[in-house]
Amino acid sequence: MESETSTHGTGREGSIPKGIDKMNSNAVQSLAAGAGAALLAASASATPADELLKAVSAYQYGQSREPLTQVEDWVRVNLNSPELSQAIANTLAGLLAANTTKDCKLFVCRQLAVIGTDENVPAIAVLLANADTADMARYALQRMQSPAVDVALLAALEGAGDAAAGIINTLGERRSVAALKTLATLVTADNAKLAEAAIAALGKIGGNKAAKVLAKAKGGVAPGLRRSVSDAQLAIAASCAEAGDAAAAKAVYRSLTGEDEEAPVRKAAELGLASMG
Amino acid sequence: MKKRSTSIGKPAKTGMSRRDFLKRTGVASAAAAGFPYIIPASALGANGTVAPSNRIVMGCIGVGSQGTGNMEGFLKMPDAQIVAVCDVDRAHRENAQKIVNETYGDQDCAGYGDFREFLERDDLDAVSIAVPDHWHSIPAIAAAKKGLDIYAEKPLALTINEGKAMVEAVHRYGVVWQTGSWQRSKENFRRGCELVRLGRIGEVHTVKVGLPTGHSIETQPAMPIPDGFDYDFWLGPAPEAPYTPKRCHWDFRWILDYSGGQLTDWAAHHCDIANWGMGTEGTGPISVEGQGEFPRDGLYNAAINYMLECKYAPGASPVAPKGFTMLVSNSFPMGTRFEGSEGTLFVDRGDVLETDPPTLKDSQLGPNETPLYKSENHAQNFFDCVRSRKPTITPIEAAHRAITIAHLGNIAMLLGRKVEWDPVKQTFPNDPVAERKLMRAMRGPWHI
Repeated sequence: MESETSTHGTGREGSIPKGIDKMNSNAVQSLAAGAGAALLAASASATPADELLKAVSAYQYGQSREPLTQVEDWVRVNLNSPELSQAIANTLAGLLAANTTKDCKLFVCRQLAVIGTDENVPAIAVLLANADTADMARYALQRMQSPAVDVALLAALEGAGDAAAGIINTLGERRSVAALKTLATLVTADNAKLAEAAIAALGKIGGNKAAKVLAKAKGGVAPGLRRSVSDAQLAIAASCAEAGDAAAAKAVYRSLTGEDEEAPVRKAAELGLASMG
Repeated sequence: MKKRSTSIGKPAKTGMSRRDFLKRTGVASAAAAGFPYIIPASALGANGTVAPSNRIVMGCIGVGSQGTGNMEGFLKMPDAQIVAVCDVDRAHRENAQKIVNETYGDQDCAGYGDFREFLERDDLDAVSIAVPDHWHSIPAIAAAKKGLDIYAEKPLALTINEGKAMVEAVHRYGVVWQTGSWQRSKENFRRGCELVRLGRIGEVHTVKVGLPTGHSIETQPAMPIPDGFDYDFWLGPAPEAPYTPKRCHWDFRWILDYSGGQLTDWAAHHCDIANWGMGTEGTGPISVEGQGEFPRDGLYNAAINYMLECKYAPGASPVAPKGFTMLVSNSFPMGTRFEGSEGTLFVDRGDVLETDPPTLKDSQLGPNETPLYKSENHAQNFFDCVRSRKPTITPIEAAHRAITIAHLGNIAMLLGRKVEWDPVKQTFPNDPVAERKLMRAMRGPWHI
């Protein structure tokens, strides 16, 4: 059995990409017909029906996904209006603090991953404190440009328990320079998962400070993590080279060509040096 | 091979040394006793076989239907020696071990549930990876860091940024990469792309890529996790979700948390051929718009019907100086159709190569024309490149650029608008909302 479909894309009121009508009339009819039905529930408005929000608040896996789809329509239709989009984000963020289901919160975080802003960081950050919801919070926060996200992630790190490695990963993916100092202290943590995450994050953040931290820590990390440090150093060398700092890149690469490094690392370092001429 | 000096003969779980090989075959004891002895020709590489010391020692990560199919192909290759398999589903894992052991007539194939333990083996030269899309990047990057050559399934990655990271890792560690986009090793596709690249259909203005239609299904109940299936590991970096059979294994591809739908699954074949023919394997479109039908309810949520319009800048392709348009849709016939100023060319599976005018496909290469890279066997091409260290017929950059087209299409459809793309920087200029779609936060502790 196939369920009803909705149409997403350019020309969301039913128009089709220029030129497509010449290609296949059957497809066009299908797409155009779907477009009208798809967006009946969505409109350029910051306030969806209370009934819809109520349904989303109580949503649990196994129920109909239709209310969620209507909210997705609502988010998408208003994406081109920063004001409406912000208002929608605020409305949805309100569901994070309320007595809503975990599945609702996950759904809201998926939407905020696209439209969340500074204003929504505090509401999302609350979820970081709970290992059961921290991953979904990071889903929302990881790609938000706001520096407030880094502050929230760092604040949540202490006492994050099982969620800490994920938080560190997100700081790394965000290339969070603000996290350098904290991550430096975690490189030699007793918890190998945290140490490994911090090492990888430093490699992604890159720069001279991260390079120095890793070089200094290399002798002190757990034996199983030495390879991770080398890989992070290779990443830093590559980013230095890409940024035009050939001297820094070469220095890191040369430090990785010794016999004390594993063969793949030595080879990578030699390749890096060779690529720089 | 890097372990060739120590992995002579059929490697055991921890690799077999030359000493072990001699001991197992009785050579050492026979020689010590002063008896003449005979070593089977196959062990020496005669009669068309490859000497054990020169075989490529492989392991397979992911041995579901696709992974097992790949593995069985490798088992037929004299170049390969499979020593271990890895899968989070015990049933898949044990089935694969059984196949390997029956082929080799022993019980030596090791089984792993965790690819990290699998990669700690010190006897591997190469790995085959055939896991759900949301798992593509993590083991591939981990294998590259170990210096292992990689044959991996398409589509390359779940997101554009994961694909970029995979490209970087493979280049950084200098490992050989072959993507499972095997159409490149079929002569009709190669010949068709060669003709387009040589300008036989003139300046190309349009490429139409036909892909399959998606699926929907009603809401599925949460079910008990089957014994032996490490479901949490299967979810891995993807968001937490209740187990239901229709979410897992082959069906992952209908759900956007694990895949990009039929669009990404097949773009890795036919968009790849489009790029190969157009010579756009190192670049991409400058804008993408599209329209798709997505299930409004039920378990699946990837596009069922879709139409993408991708614009390429003038000069992006050597055969399209004025730029060209790539249309990607399930409403076209399956395959890739190139339309140029002097003719059209269509290629598809089943050895299809059609041209207009028909004589075009018989065109011969001139003395100064370079034929397109040729491979007659996708797996063999991988093994040949493992030995030669030359690029395979489907290098990772090509796989990344092919699948980027589909990712851009999904992003445009899901945002409900056209997106502008910088194919050099691989960013969305002045579009912070689209930029957020370049990657997804992975569930802890997973990262690339």
